[in-house]
Amino acid sequence: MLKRLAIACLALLGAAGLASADTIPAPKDPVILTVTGKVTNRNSAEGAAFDAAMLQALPSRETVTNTPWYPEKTRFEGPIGAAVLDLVGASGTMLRVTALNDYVVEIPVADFRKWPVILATKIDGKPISVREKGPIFVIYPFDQDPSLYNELYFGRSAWQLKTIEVR
Amino acid sequence: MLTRKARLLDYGVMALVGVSILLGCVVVTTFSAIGARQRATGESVREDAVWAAYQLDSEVKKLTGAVHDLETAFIAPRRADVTLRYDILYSRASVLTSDHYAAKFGGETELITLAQEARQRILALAPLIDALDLAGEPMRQVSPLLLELETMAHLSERLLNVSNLAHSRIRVQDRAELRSIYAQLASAMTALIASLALIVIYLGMQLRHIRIARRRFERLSIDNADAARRAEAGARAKSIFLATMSHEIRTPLNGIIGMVDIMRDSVMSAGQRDRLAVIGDCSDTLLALIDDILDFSKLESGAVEFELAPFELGEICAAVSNVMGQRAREKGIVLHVDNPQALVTTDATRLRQILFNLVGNAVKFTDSGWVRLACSLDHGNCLRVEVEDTGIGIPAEARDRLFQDFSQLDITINRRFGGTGLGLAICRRLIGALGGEIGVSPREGGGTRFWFTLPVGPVAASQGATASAPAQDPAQEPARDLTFSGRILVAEDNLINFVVVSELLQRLGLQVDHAPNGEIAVHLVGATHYDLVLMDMQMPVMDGLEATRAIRRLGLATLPIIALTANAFSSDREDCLAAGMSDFVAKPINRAKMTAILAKWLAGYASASEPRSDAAKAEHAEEDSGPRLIDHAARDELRRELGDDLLDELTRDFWPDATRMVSAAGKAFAAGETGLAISELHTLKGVAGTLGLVAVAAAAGIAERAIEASGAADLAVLQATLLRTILTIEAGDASRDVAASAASA
Repeated sequence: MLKRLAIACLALLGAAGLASADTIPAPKDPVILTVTGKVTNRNSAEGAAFDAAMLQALPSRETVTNTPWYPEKTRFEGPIGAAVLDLVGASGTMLRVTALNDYVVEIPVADFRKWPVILATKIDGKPISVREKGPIFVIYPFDQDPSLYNELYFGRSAWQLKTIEVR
Repeated sequence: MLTRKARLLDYGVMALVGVSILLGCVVVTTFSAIGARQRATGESVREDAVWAAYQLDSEVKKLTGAVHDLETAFIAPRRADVTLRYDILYSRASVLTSDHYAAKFGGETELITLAQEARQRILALAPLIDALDLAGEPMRQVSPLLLELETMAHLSERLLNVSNLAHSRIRVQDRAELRSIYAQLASAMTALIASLALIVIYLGMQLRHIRIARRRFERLSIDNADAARRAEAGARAKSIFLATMSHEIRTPLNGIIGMVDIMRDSVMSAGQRDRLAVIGDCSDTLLALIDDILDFSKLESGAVEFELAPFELGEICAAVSNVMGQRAREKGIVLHVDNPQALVTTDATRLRQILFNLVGNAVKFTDSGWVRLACSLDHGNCLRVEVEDTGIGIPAEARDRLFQDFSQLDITINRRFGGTGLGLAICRRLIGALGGEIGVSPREGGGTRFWFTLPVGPVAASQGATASAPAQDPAQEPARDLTFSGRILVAEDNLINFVVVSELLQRLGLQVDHAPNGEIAVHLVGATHYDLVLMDMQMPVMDGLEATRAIRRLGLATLPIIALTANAFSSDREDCLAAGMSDFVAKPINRAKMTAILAKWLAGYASASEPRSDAAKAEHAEEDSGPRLIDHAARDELRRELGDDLLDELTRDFWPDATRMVSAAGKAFAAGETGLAISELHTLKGVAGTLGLVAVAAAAGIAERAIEASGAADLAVLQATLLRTILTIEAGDASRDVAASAASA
């Protein structure tokens, strides 16, 4: 009896103090993004795993901009990076981002706080296939802030994103 | 020389500025070129081509590895891995043929061909990958894939090499281009700096030139100021010399004038009298000229002080009217004087001088018609005076130099009328110094109108009596037969002056002692009782001021001490009064002045027929006199019978006749023709009696009887009486005119 009460209390505490520990459900479809490292809300052993539908449910943004990778203005759409970080309860300062081809790049968390960087999952309203540099493409708001339009942020704009490690 | 150099410098600086602007443009253009180039580079380098080739190569190898794995174990996860690897490779393929890629390696045809071929081959792999079937024969499916991937690996390696080489080449090219741009920029900057340095040098030189020029100008202006100072000092020295000389000339001239004055009273032939008159006229003229020069040089040297005090404007105008009216009448022209009665404040002596000068000129240059002196008060405290005449006029072109120093309109006028030509120059200076303006304008129908304005505030209402009676200039007062008694000390070092003064005093019935210097004067005053002391200012041993102070120290506080001064300037007068003198009299001394001053200070000793010294005396003179000059009752009767004009005309005609008769009598007597002399005197007596000029008639009778009785003749009394009568009649006419106008108003 006492033991059950303690568990209930813990559950309550967890719900109140740790920003909805149970709000990340287990992915139903194939995982396309895993957030690891200093994250509090997990749904797997490695950390927080997301399928496409879970990402789509998060607050999103449309960024229509010129990029070096496409010949003309392209409409990118996907969850806001900061929202993903908030959801998983990230507490680090640096994000180590790994792509499918094992391309690794480090992005300061501050970038995600400062700009509405999105983890684009759609181009022109359609999901991005691996052959089109999908499924996730980190897109900075180049249209919003011209100072971002340089090699530094082009490098941070990883495509075929697979994992984010919060450090 | 300097200016040419400066101008050259100017041009140099301008040219350099132009060059600098041009160079500046070049620099700006170069910078913008660099900026544009960098932007282009930035765009083209977005995805590094070499990196792309490397990744392609790496992905080909990874895919090959995955296919080998699949070969060893033909299972689903391995197949998925192969698919993923192919997808990634596929995603790379698009980069190779993208526009940016083409732009980056536009010139490298081999590279482009290779890239396109690589892409073709990657795309061509798709059916093989997609056809992988776990159910089928592994070897049959994998072998062609591996074969294809081997070729692909060669191709990607080659692509990597070629792109690396191309990249290096482009980098070298870029660097060279950049270097040339930098070299361009550097040379433009160097030229710009050189040009700026030149500008600085040029400006420095210009500054130096300006400084040199300024120093030169400063030196020049100092030199000029020195020269001006020297010139001014020279001019002042000349003026002082002129003033001194004029003053020195005046002393002997005063002697001449005084002696002539005295000699007029003595018996002489008509010829002598005429010659004496000429001497007198010449002396007067000479004195007037010297006074002009003295005045002018004093004004020039700044030694003139002005004494502003309130006085009756009417008095001054009356004096002008009296003296100039006489002169005008002699020429047969009329002088109108028109002035308001008011108490004005300015330097009376100077105003009188200006009026005498202007009216004198007008009378001098007018042969017929009239002269008009009109005074008015504008805006309350500004006196405006106009002197108009109907004379010879002034040509327009001469008006400008009219007020210049030493200018007379032409030599012929100079010969005809005489004068220094300083009169108007003096007037201009006096008026200027008193804060006024003078000018001249032509009159329609010939003649001239001089005008001047003077500030004369504060102006007060006239105090009446003095203004209504015509005032007489003391200097112009007629000599009258006043006699005094008493003892006079004359302190005067100049013997001529002393003799003149002494003669005058003795004739007035006074005893005279002489002190040749101030010290002796003080001794004499201490030892003897004197009724009055006449004191020269400049004397050896002890001057007049010092002597006066010494006398006052003796306790003789009431003894009248009169200064004899050649200068009528206020500073001298103040010195005199400060030293304790009672009054002063300006040289030259003549009988009129002497009489006036004695009448003032020896009033108690006068045994004379007429009280004098006030302006109203003319009216009362005859009434108070013992032996009357004029029988007014008889003249009034005549006036009623004949009318004013006729009586005046007769009277005016009488003067030359009477003068001629006296002189004829004198001549006749001198020639021993006593009968003729008596006859002339008798006629004179009769005519004078008829005209009511009783004093002249009586004097003529006395002379007549004297010749008859004793054969001796002193015509001096007759002459004096005649002169007094003339002056009294003239003054009387003037006062009667005023009285008549007052009555009619």
